[in-house]
Amino acid sequence: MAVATTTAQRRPRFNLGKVERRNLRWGLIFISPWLIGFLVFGVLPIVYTFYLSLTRYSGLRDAVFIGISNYTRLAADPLFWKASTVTLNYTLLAVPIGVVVAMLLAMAMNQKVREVTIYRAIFYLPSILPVFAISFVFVVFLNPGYGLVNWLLSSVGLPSPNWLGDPHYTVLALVLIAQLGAGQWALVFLAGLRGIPTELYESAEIDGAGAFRKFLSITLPLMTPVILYDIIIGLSFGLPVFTSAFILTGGGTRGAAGPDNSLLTYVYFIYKQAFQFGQMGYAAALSVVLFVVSLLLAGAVFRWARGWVFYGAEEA
Amino acid sequence: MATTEIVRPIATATPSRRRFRHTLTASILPRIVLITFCLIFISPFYWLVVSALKSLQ
Repeated sequence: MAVATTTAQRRPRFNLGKVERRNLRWGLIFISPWLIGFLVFGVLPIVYTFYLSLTRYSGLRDAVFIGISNYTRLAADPLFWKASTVTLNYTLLAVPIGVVVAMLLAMAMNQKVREVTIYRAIFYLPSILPVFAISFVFVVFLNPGYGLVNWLLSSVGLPSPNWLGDPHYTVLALVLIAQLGAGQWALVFLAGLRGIPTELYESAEIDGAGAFRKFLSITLPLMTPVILYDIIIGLSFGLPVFTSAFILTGGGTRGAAGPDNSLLTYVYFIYKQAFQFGQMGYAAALSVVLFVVSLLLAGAVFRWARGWVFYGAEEA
Repeated sequence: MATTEIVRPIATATPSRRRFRHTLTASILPRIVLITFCLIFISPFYWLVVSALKSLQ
């Protein structure tokens, strides 16, 4: 045993035997369709975007190398900062609200009610609709004159804002639309809730814990890995938000993206630069910045999560 | 050997009231919450279906 371990330690990492080499060759052949697709449609566009970000390119003529001019230009572009602020505001609102809504839905779906499967199907229903369709419906729902949302608000005595006309409320409208997709994340939360051992709740009940104490001391700590997953997925969906903003502004046909450009999300800005103004190089530089910021944010969240995510249940 | 005595709270509510409270918390309230959520989540789909069935006139 000791001899085998010593031999394994001394053996170079990539010194494969004949059988291992053959297995590796066949393995690579079998995964080659995916590998080629990933390289051609995944890695190559990313590398090409990095290259384009250093050029002046309209999509029609040859790209002209201009160094870091696109990056210096975006640092001085007020619309770049506007789009970044709108996207950051949206993400900061949509992600935590999304976690809370998904958690509430999951807890509601976890009730011992006979017809709960029907409710689950209904909660999931908006997730199978395209974002385009949901956003289009919301253009009607959020209408200040005859929209359903303002009718509900006024019926309980709350003020009826001009959701798509007032720049203070436009991002909230985007957040509202995003919450309709909470059904699919609620299913992930439900799986997490089902994984919590019932003995923990029984022990807490014997100790006299109420529903709120059980939630705070058992449910929430054991759900932290799922919450982290939801935050990461929320970031990856929130930062490139485009479709809903595009539909709410009428597809950009009215010039500015909403009142005071309040619906100019980052990807919407990239879209305008690339396909309305034909500045592919500048749009590529914007994409590179989004790519780097997304990576940094995800890394920061994972680092922050070390302090509050509890993996105790898996270890036990 | 020390023993732990479990002190149970004295039941103050009548059985019918306890049954009602149990029905309220275990059956009625969850259904109200679930149906409210359902109404919110089904409204866009309902609007799409109703609009699709309307004529252009």
